Amino acid sequence: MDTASVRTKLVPHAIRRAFGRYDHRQPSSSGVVSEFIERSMPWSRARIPMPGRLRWALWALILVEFAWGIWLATIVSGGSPCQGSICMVATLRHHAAALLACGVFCIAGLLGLIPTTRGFSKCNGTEVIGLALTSAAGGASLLGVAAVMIGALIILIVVTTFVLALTATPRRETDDARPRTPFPLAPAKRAGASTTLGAERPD
Amino acid sequence: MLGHPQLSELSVQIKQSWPSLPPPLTLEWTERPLVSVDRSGIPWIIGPAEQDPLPGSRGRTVIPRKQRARLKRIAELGVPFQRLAIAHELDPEGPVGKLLPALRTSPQPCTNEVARELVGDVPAHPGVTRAVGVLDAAVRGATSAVAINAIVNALDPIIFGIIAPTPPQDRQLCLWYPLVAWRW
Repeated sequence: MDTASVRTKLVPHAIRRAFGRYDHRQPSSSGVVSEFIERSMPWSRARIPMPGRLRWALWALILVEFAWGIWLATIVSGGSPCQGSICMVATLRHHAAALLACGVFCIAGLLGLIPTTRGFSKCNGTEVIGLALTSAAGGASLLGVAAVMIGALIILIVVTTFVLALTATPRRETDDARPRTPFPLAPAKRAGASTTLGAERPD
Repeated sequence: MLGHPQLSELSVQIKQSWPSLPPPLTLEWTERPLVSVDRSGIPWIIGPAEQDPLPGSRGRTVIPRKQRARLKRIAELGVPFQRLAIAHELDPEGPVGKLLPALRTSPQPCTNEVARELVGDVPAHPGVTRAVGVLDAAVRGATSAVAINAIVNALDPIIFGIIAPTPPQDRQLCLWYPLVAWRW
């Protein structure tokens, strides 16, 4: 005996009588709650608006990854050589294939999320996880570029410091360039003269 | 339920068959969203679940995961609910404020458009908001400035299961069983 028939027998007569007159144009009485659940959605799937800065950053990430991916693809395919320290750092010691894989995952993920997030304007819980994963992959792909840029920045700072140090006016020179004090007593003090006026200085 | 022997009989029989159900309220069924004020002066909007004024994407009602699981358990009980209704607590300081004087005398039916205006939007999920905030902060490079914009709304939606001796008609007295409630 199935549970439905047991339930039918357990349902009191008055209830069955009431449902015997039920309007069949409406959902079946036993499935009202089930149908409602099917029509509902978890709160975490409700979309929330994304900040404009994040939206633009994700679009920019697609473009940067696209350009970076093309360059990595030429290296992986052997189309362009990867020689020199800059290329070695940018590809994290010749891991161009791994970086390219990260970049492709990032671009594919973000492109896939564009329609569902309506151009990164709204997202729900699942989509924000997808965005985080693809962004992390994109960030990993750009680690070498970031290292090169940081290195370049450090070199720039060091060079700037040296240039400033070399072109700066020496301190002694600035001391001499200082204007003479107008007081008449000042020369006497500088010469180590006695403070007694009129006294002769010993030789 | 005094003076409504049919409803009383129905209530007793349902209680015997499904003792886990909470005691019902006896209220009139409404086919249109109805704005009213309860005894403590809090405004509510009540209406059929299929006309929920707070729908998510594609008109689907947004329900927290825990309450959804509870509804699934209730559905498995096989209680013969004829209709479902949703009540939304309203902020007296919100758009319903201008209706309050009229509501103190009697409940007022309203259109779906007015109902949507009164209820507002689905509050943002705090977890999703936090995650988006962290991503935004990563873009900005200032993790200390993570903004949590989730609106912690203290208003309660309640979902009722409706049972009546006959298919519920407008203004017919029915048994309203509170099934799930939550705070956003």
